Amino acid sequence: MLKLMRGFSWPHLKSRKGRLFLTLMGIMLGVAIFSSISVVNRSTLESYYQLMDQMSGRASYQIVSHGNSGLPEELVFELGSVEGIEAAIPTVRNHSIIDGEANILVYGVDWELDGLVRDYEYVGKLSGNRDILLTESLANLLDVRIGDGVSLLTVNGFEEFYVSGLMSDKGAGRTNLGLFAIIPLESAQEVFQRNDKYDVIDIVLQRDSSLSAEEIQVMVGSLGLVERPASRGKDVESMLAGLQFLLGLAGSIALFVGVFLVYNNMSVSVQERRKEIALLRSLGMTRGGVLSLILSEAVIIGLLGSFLGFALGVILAGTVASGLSSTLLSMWRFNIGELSVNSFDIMVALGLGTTVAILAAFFPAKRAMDISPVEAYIGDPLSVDVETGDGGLRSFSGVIVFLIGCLLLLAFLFPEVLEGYNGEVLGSIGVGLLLLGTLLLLPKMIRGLSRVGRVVLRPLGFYGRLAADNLGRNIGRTTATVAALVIAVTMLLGMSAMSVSYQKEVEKWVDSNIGWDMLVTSSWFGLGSDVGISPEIVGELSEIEGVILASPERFTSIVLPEMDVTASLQVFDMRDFGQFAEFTVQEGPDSETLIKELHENGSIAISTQVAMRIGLGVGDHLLLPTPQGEQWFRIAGVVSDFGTGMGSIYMDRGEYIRYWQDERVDAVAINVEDGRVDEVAHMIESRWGQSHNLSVKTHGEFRADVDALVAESFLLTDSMAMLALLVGALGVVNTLLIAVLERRRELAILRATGATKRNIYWMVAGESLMMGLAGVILGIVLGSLVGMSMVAATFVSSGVLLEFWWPIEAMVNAVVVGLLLLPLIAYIPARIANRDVLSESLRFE
Amino acid sequence: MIRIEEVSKEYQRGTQVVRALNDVSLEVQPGEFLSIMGPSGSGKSTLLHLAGGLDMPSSGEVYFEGRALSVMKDREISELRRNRIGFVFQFFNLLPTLTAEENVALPLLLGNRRDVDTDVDRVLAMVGLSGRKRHKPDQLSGGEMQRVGIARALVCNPALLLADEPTGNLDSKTGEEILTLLRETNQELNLTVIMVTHDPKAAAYGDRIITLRDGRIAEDLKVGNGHA
Repeated sequence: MLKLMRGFSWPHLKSRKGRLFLTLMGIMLGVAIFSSISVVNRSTLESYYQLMDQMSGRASYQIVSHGNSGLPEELVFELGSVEGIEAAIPTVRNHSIIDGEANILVYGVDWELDGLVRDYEYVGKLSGNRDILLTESLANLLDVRIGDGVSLLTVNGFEEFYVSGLMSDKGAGRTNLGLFAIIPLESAQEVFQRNDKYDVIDIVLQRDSSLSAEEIQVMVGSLGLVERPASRGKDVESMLAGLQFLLGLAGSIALFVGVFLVYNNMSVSVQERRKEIALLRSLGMTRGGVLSLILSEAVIIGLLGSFLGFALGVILAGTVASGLSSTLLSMWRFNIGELSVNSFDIMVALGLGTTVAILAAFFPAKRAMDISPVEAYIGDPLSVDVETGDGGLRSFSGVIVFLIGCLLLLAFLFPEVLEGYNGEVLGSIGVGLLLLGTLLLLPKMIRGLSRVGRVVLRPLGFYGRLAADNLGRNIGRTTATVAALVIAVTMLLGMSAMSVSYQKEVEKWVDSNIGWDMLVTSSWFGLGSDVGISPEIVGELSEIEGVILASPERFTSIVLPEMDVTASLQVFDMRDFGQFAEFTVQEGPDSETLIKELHENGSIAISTQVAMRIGLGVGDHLLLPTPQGEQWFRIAGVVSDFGTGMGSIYMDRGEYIRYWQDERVDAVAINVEDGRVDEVAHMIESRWGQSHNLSVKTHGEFRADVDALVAESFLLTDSMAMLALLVGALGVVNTLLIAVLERRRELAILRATGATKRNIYWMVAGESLMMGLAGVILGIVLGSLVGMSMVAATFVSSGVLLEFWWPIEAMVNAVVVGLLLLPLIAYIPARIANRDVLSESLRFE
Repeated sequence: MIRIEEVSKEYQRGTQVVRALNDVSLEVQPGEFLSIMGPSGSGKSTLLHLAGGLDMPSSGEVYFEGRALSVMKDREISELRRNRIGFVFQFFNLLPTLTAEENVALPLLLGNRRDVDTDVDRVLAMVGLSGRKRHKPDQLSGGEMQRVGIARALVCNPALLLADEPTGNLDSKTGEEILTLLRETNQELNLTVIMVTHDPKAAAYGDRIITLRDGRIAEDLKVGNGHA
């Protein structure tokens, strides 16, 4: 078989490099996307768990406070004396800025105890109140040595610390990718305003202890939450699941197009070698032998495409990883260290690409198997490859499936029609049936397209008529091409509708909810430090000339007991809040009444996401864990929230301080007299910018930042959708190329009877235009429906309420690709057709 | 009508260069019926394709009605093929999606002519296929398909008709009918015909027979035509 492949298959593949390249591209893109998903997924989780291990060391459990409000010192002593617990080790953890340039993670530790839970390799000591231990890589970055001074951002501004020792970048020294420092515990409590509290208590169990998290939780009570160090990994996994879904969709479409590219390539390659295959059969090769030979070619293409696809996937994974970095840094404070690639990934990639290639090649191989040995000795006049049979049953099924899909989708989009159904499932099934129905109806539509083409392409004269006829000549292939394009355009529009609707809704939300003139903070979107602002500075801000209002704000997170739901806790002084902003209320009283309710009655408002996840609404009561024990809060309103992904709980500052006894301030919202924004902003930055790393964002700047962040978060999916569209377009080019190769003798006849090269181009371009037209029109209709259901599904699945916006830009892109780019790139197959030497094409082969 | 001067044609076949024609010179007069004979690979079809502007010589020049083909642009050669030259092929080369009359009308339609019916009906009547004009190629016999091919070649009143083994795919009786049709057309319309064949009986329908061997003219014979 190998000898036969070398003599029969290899020369053929080699002589059709362009076609081979297009086919490989189909496999490559699909495999690349799937490989990148796998690599990014594992690399992210491995980096996360590695970070958790480094941060938590030998701790079996860790106790974190509710809403990051801190754990009391007594808890350490109580837990330390419990039988089965070897040590309870407290830490204060804060992101800060050192020497004005590096964002670092600072641990405040009890140096005597901390060695029980974490391994450090170090030189020096940590004894003085202003001592700091740096990792070697951080010291190199800052160009400092033991004995040098460094300035660390604290709640009181930048304070001088002395480098008293260096840790090697091993064990705990690798925490936060080496951007890590340690200061004494008491010192950290002071400079980060922890008021005799800790952030985390690590629990190291005795060797034979069987204490469970639940038992320790009973001891801890409402003071904090007991969890395994890496338990937050599930949040990372759920974030990755969303990304995986979108990338998986793009990968599936790329592979679908890949299947069709391989199918096309193998079909034409069998067609071209009918005589050679007939000869092999006449010389004694069995039908099974022919099947094996053609499938072996597919395996080679599959292996080669998969291998190249895997390499491309690793490069793509690097791009995706860097695209994810801002999300990972802001939400989980870590980054992907190194991409983790293993042999399993390679095996999966090779298996995937090869399977796809074999499946795609099966029918062409079966056709090759049926070639009669007699064909080796008879002539081959031009054949009519118009397909017969009207596929009546298929079309009928298509109509039924399409109509059921429409009904389900309507029921999903207009829920008042039906009540008490599972909307998400209905919507998904509806969209699926709609697509399936369209695909079943597509062959019928293509026949119609051929007739429509005669009218649309009339300006091209007789060449338009020929182009229209050609569309109906290989219904299977034209259907697969248009289907790939339809799915790609549908995906592009669906995702863009989602992205545009989200962006528009965020803009509306920012306009109503963010009413301040400027916000002062030392941390933006979680990047940089999370050092708060001292009460003194808040007071001084309100006294600046021109400032009407300076309102302190606190942003933290909270885990709702027994619900496994994490929400953002947003604490405002509601009197102030009412003066510069309003809630976008989805359920409950108007914004003014709601704000009053929150301020005067100690109620809370929850965002639609939280309402969806906990299944509660206005008038219900929600149990929140506080350091004072669990407390019931009445829900006074359900509001929109685009500030956080997880959803928010809104509370008045007075109420928060009462239960959490935490007076920290993360940001100050400021309103100023008309026309004084720039002046006040400049003054704040010049006064506290250098010393306290405070920065000011005006309303306009903040809005621009939010827009950029939303655009960035959809950049990857938008790019994938655009890539799928281009792969779809590639499919059209491939189909045209193959059609041109199959019909080279016909084209030669046209040339012999007087058609110019330009005439041939217009004919091929006409064919391309009609396929583009069908793909784009159907794609726009289906994409809009998919977009509407995705927007509606966002509310059903996550509680984020969006209004549908038409994705105009994506529609323009689809039209440009379908109606301008496709006819233009038809130049490539047309050029290949024109390059043929007429005399050779006309000669009987 | 057509003058071929010191024409050579080389093809690249893998790593080898194959010389199909070697320094061939030939002149064909208006109204002449020239048969080209020779064994396989002697360069017959190559000579025919060069004469029709389907291919360009590696060296030498082909003149059609006094104009050198090598200096013409693609548009000009295409127009020439559309209006002045007709081709008849061994395997008919009809477009399978078009009816007989549409295939015949092809050169006119490609030139964006609209009033084609009269001309099409005229040539279909000439080849005896008026009753089969709405049939597609797969509904016609071999002889009928070749008649459609001849009608297509004649529809634009060409000055030159080039036929490449026109009877090679037909039984002997049908082949004779086609050759008779070609001869009658040649005489009635004073049409110049160049026909490639390997069959001496078919070649004898011509006024003149040249024999090619190894890319050169081995023999050039004027004959008194017994088939006229």
